[in-house]
Amino acid sequence: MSSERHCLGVPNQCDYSRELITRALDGQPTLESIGHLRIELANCLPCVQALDVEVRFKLAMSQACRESAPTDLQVRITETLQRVVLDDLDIQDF
Amino acid sequence: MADQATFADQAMEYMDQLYSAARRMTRNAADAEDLVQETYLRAYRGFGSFQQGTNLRAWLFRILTNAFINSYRSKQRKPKSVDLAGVEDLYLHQRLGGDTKAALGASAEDVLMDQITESEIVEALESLPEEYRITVLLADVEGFAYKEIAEILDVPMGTVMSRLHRGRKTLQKRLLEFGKTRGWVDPPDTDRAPASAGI
Repeated sequence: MSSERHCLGVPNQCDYSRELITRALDGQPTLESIGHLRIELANCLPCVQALDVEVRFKLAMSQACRESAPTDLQVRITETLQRVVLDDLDIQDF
Repeated sequence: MADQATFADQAMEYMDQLYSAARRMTRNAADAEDLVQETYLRAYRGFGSFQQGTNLRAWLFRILTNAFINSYRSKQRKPKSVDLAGVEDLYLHQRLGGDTKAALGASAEDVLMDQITESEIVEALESLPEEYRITVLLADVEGFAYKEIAEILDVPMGTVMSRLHRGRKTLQKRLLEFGKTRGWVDPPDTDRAPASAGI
């Protein structure tokens, strides 16, 4: 970041904080990476709040939308792959 | 080049993640199972071209996404492309600020996020138009980096960022509407669009 850039104190009017928050949400944020960004935004309480809300939202999404594959699907796919492997062997053998 | 004999050993561990994504893409358990099975078959057939040492998870998600778009979806009427460009920018914390926050004596977004159920979050995600839904899914549920999402979807980074921004804001708006419907929050100015662009 350029040293000339700074937070305007209004999250939705500030490209600087927008960039930082967008960067914070890239991939899988860690407590450490979020902590560093909170320090960078420390002079702007609304920006820190915005960051926290966005991170919490991302976490909630991740937790709510995950589910395990049914056991029978795992069995079916494993069996299908084994059958395909055998078919491939048959083709190569004959 | 990858050895097909090692495919199952390497790829099966991602089944839960692929199934979760397929559920949100198809919005249907039976179709999700078919999509995941098709993904594994395609991946097995193409595993010889996979470069060992690169990102297998991203490679499998690319196959899943392509299978959904090109195969599964083609069985249905192609959905209209919906542009969320007009979606109102908002911050949950701004919309829940002021009087509401003071009245609750706590962080209003905490109240909303504590009360909202997982099924309501899923419902909100599944209500998004397809291209936004898949992008938000890859970023916020699966935790892919923006660059990886651009590669999985084969679209420019700018497109990823735009879809994410609009998708996330639309989701937040829908969650806020859930909160309002249930009387958890009563933001003072929810019917007034802010004049400026949001994050």
